[in-house]
Amino acid sequence: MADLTSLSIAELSKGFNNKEFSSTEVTKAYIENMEQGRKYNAFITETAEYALKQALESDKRISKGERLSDLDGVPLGIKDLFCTENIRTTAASKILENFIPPYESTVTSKLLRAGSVFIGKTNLDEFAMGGANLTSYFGQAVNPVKRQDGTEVVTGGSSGGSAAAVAADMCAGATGTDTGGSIRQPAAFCGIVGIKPTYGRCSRYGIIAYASSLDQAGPMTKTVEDAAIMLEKMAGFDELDSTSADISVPDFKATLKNGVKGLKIGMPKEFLNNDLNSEIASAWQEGKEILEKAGAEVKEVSLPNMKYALATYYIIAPAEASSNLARYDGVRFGLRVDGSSLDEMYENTRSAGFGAEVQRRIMIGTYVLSAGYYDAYYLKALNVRKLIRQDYINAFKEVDAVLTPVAPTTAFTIEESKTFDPVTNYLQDAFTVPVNLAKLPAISVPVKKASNGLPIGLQLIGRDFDEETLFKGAYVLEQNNSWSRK
Amino acid sequence: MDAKEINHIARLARLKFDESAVDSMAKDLNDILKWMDILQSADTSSVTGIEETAPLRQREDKVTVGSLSEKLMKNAYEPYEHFFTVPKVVE
Repeated sequence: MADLTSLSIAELSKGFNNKEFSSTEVTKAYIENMEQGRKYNAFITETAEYALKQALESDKRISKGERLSDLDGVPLGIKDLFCTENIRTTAASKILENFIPPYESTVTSKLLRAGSVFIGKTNLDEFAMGGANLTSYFGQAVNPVKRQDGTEVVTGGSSGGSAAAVAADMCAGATGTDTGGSIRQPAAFCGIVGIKPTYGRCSRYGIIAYASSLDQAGPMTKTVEDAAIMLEKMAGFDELDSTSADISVPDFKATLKNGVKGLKIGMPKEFLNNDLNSEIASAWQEGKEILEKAGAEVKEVSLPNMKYALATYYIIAPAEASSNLARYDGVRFGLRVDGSSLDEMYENTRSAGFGAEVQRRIMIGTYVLSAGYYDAYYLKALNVRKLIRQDYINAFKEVDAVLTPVAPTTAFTIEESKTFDPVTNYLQDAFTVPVNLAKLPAISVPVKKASNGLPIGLQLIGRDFDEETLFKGAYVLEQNNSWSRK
Repeated sequence: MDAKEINHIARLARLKFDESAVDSMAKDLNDILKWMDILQSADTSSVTGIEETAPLRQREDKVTVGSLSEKLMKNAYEPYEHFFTVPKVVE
């Protein structure tokens, strides 16, 4: 029998249905990989015992012919930003080091109801603030994919642990969240697939908030088909999130293989002359050719306001974060560091509990919302955000989806990242943040190996709630490219 | 931003920095804010109001999940009966 952990979710599902293997066997194989892969630091909390219990339940259902869904019996990693009832949830922060949620997030509830097995809570940047998984209180995750010369590189972030866990076959798929690229960029760096759905598609209830108007949950998987299977189970209307969209969830898997014939795909000219790294540019060109060969029409589009996206994002996201993170005050849950007065206790707790990048973003956010600066920064950014969304709406009059790179480079090393100042770090997100600002869906799919041996990912961006087109396009890119995971 | 302003913002955010951290925070924030100046050149005259893709839904104000106080107190720091405790605020 082939190695069980190399199978996709679709293959596992078929195997379960045909009784070729049990969920317990598969779960045990993944637990073994998880334990042997601790050098990647992909998990903050391993939940092997819980997983085996769930697998046993799943096997009972399978033997009775009562399998709940394609995910029943499938071991998943859960980003440690999703609250899981009675299982420690840290957001990779010291301030939540011992936090045990008394409730389950909506997305993880849905995955549990679909019968999936939770193998562990994955590492991330602290409160999802970072693009390399270097800000985690529990240490950085390590990318299982190395440069050709053996050099270790970062996983990307913030969902770096999820990406590493999937890439190293430590789980069949994982949840991620994406506020400015946190699913798509680590997926690209680790050579897997990730989709950030339209804002409102997945409930944010029980996901520890970073920037509420930008945060979205999504799946990170080995294949495009697996992402379609997983997203369908994660998505759907939820009364407990007032921004959840009351829109039916399509059967993404059913239309996935319908091809791209007749689809119009846009390439934004503003990114074409953006001092783009030549290998990233050539991968982008290859993506274009694959789609054309499959019958899509590719043309240039213009998104003139993209140059403002990063500054807009780095005002809005910290502003929302400074408000969301005000709840960590040492009173009701989380770390407390005593002080002689209430205010001193707040300050001592927050200064000891938050890491440097989180404190930096709280400071930026507090500043742009403070008296005298609100109009110049925050209100201006909200208005520019509207221009950015309008750019895409205009482009979607001519095309059905937009194709861009995911990141300006392949994964970098920790040493290289030490030479980045905060602004250089933020520039990494140039291709991903505009999508969150516009609330649109976007999928990241690896298409090529760079000369250094690392994967290069491309991104397809779609209209509101049109993830179906993205899955079709990504499937064509996946089936016809030169990238191979193994 | 100078040290005075950093300390003021830190106070609003209930954070505190020692002297050397104030200097590096001031440098970081000044670099970031300078980089954000690009926004001032964006023409937003055509934009009216604030972007809202869908109006926020409101739900009826009623108890849906029942009493959670046992569960909610589980993460509290040294609770007293069913109360959270904080340093003394009234003399």
